[in-house]
Amino acid sequence: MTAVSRSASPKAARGRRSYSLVIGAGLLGVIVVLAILAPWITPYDPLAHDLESILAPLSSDHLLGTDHLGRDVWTRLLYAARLDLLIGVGAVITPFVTGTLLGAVAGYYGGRIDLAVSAATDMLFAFPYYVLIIALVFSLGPGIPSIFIAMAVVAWVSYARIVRGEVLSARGQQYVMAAKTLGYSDLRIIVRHILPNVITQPVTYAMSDIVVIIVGVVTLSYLGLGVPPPTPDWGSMIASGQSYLTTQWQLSTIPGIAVVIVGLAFSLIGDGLTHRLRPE
Amino acid sequence: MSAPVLQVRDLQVRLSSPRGVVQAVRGVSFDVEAGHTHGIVGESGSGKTTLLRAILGLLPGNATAGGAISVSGRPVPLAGGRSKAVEGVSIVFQEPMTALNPVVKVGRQISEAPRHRLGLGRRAARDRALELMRQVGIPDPARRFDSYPHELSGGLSQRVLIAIALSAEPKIILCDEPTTALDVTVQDQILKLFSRISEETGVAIVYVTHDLAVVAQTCRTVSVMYAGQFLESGTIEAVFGQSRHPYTLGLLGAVPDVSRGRTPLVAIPGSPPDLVNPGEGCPFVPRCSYARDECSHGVFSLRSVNHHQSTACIRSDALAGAS
Amino acid sequence: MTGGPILEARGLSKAFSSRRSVGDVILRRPAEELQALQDVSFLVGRGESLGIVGESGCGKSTLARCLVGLYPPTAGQTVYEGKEFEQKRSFSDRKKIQIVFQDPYSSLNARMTIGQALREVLRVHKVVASGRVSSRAVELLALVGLDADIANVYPRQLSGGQRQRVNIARALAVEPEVLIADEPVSALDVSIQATVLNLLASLRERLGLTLILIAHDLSVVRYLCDRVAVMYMGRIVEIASTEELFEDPRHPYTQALLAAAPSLERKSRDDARSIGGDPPSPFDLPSGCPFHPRCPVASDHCTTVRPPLEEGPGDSLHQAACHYAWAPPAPHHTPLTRGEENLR
Ligand SMILES: Nc1ncnc2c1ncn2[C@@H]1O[C@H](COP(=O)(O)OP(=O)(O)OP(=O)(O)O)[C@@H](O)[C@H]1O
Ligand SMILES: Nc1ncnc2c1ncn2[C@@H]1O[C@H](COP(=O)(O)OP(=O)(O)O)[C@@H](O)[C@H]1O
Ligand code: SF4
Ligand code: SF4
Ligand SMILES: [Mg+2]
Ligand SMILES: [Mg+2]
Repeated sequence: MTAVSRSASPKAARGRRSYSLVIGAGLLGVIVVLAILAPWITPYDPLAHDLESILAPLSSDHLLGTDHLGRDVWTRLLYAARLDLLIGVGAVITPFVTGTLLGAVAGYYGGRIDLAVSAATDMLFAFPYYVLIIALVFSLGPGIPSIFIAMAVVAWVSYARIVRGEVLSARGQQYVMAAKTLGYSDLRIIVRHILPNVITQPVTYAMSDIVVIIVGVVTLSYLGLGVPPPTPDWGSMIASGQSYLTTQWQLSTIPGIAVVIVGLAFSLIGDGLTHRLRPE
Repeated sequence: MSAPVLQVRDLQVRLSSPRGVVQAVRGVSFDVEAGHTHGIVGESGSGKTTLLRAILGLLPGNATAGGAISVSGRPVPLAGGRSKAVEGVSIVFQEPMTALNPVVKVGRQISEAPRHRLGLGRRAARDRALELMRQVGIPDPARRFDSYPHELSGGLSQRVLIAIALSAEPKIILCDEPTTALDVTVQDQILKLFSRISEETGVAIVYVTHDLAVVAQTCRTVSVMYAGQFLESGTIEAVFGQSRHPYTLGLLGAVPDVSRGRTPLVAIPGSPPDLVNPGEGCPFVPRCSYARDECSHGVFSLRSVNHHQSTACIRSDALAGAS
Repeated sequence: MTGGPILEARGLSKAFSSRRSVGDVILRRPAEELQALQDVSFLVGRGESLGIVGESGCGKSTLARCLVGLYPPTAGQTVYEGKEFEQKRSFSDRKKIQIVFQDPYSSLNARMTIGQALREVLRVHKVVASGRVSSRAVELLALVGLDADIANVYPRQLSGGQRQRVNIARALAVEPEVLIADEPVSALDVSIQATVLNLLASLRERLGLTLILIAHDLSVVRYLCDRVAVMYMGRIVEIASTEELFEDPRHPYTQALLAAAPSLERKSRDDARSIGGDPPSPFDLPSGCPFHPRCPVASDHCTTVRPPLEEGPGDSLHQAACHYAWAPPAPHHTPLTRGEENLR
């Protein structure tokens, strides 16, 4: 193998992938900026009822019309973005951190720790993911804290599995052996040497997980288990707009499209990151 | 002197890549006669595999080629496509394990060509396969016929690959580092096998490797490849004994040899040129201690210096007797 | 041996057991054991360079990893300056033996620059005062013949030869007494190998290092080593000074290795000494002398009795593990009859 054949084709792929990273990040950036600026770029209060203009059509006053309580849809859409994005990202952090650490420790030390972690992941994996989360939220009672707790209990397994496998193979790599013979502590080897080389996988997975969570929250809210009304959220917006689907299609469709766009943005970012973060 | 089975004339291969066009082979010419073994030595990236792929008519899709190759007088289509010429060429690769189909019994893989290319019946093809297995020294062929590749050691797999290479009754066998993945004692067995095969069947062998000693042991003639070009060609005795090229001399002084004790090794400074933009003149200029101004201009190709060898170095006279 | 002994392998053995599936556990199937290293003993003198050669899978890397403490041996000890290393090696003991691995591409952390990697070792071991760390890193690079600006570069931007020199610099950062190089040039291009080999030779001289050089081919150890140990299937089968081993090999396997090594200078091969067959499966070692299925001079005795590693009559430093290494076969010697399997 030569320098050229080693880098030539991955480089092309990398070029294409950073394209997807740029588009994804751009898309997400626009949504985030709009969400942050919501109070300034929308003249309405997302919660204020306006019974004069119930179910108004699209107009220059109400860009996306109003819902059955006369609330401005564009305003609610942006405020919902704030909440849903925050939940999506926030709910991933705990499982990402615990899963990565447990997986790293299990993969690195093996033995009993590994057995215990693997048994736990296998057990949780036996249940369907969504069903488990919905059941947990149901038993904990609806609301955002329940969603966070359910995620923390369930979602770490995927991270633990991914990281364990990666660490297991990194452990046999010569750079890890070299670190051991240089007398480095296990903590240093795991944190400074192994994790930077294996973190790509869980990070990309987190991107898709955020999407899954947002869709999950939307689903829960749709089922009345998630964000309690009247707080704006894409799920409850879709649910409440459903009755008017034939006359006011935008009420359910627009938040649906928002979910799709956010999902697309995170997927593109995940895809781009996979290739950007790869060392070679 | 018999007519050469393989003739390569001014072969050029360019491969497009995102970095630009890689000039992998730059004007290579050589002949190989039936029953002869010709070695090609070069470092990684010097263009050896690309050269072999061109002879096989199997250049990758991003390649453009110039020059001419013929096998037994028939031209090999450089742009790909089937040809009778290409059917006379077989290849043995470096990694025996990955070159075999893991889910097909080795006997079937060996009898495939006799059955489908030579049109033998099932029984005859099986007998032919068993005979080939015996010829390449696979013990107990009848039992091994039904083995799967993963049941074989590296040495046995390489023998199977050689049997497959022989099964289509080729005129030429190309070997791309066939023993690099093998142990020394097993490599020795395979090298002996190649010598025996070329003696018994008269097949011509082109043997590509980075190992000078392996070439010295197996081949009658050798070409030294560097940056897509042949820098020196000739008989083993001439090229390795009285080299007329600084690169060959450098290589000879840079590798330890079992028969030599502690003769100090001298590394060649620098590294090979980038084949995307190799520039004009002798490709060895930046690393050559004999280089002069005139080495940086013009086209450098092999010219004979005596009956036994040719060199691309314009200062070869200064080297006479240097080794 | 140059100085007094510095390092001793005392009966080192290492077995790996294959992973058992749940089914194996339930059915009480015993774990399959692979004996990678069996009862390996030798002494290395201070400042000496010992070569270890053998074919792929014979246990060379396992031996190196046991010596540096990466693998706990199943039996035996590593003795350093007369003192046994603990099973879990102490921080200061770890420094004394360092290793350079075979693959220059995977032995550096891809996420750290060369400078970061070197400074890390220096800081962890407090080799120099914290203000001197950066300049010491540059000195180390200079020691292995690399420019200071390499410190800012990531491993992927370096050639194999340069990386291997960085690996050597990093191993030397902790100022070890013993350096083990596990096939340091097998992954390198021919024209570059000499740079690394010459570097090892000169470092040994300049720093008084003790060197253990592992190689699969004899030419490299002949170039660099004072003494050579030949391994076959996890055991040392012959050990002698380099001249002795190359001039007067006593073990048939050493003779076969020498006969098989391709050479530029020797045109005709010694066919009488070359061997057929492949190395046996490490899961299923032959009885008696592990070399007997391939040995051209094996007798029936060899199939049942394993020859110990024994000194020659004149020379206590030349040892070989063959019944007939030092004494010709007895008159009743019965050459082994073999199946077709072993003929080639
Ligand atoms: N971690 C491990 N787990 C199981 N088996 C192992 C392990 N490491 C080595 N082995 C086995 O031990 C034997 C000796 O291996 P080792 O890597 O020491 O050989 P080697 O002489 O260095 O070979 P090579 O030249 O191929 O590197 C081999 O059969 C190998 O498959
Ligand atoms: N399919 C390809 N596309 C682009 N460049 C290639 C391709 N194959 C080989 N090369 C380049 O051509 C040169 C010669 O390669 P190769 O023939 O494989 O060398 P060798 O066999 O001596 O290692 C190298 O610079 C290599 O990177
Ligand atoms: S032509 Fe010039 S640069 Fe090239 S090898 Fe000869 S002396 Fe050296
Ligand atoms: S003991 Fe017997 S089998 Fe082993 S090497 Fe000596 S002669 Fe050969
Ligand atoms: Mg190649
Ligand atoms: Mg090894």
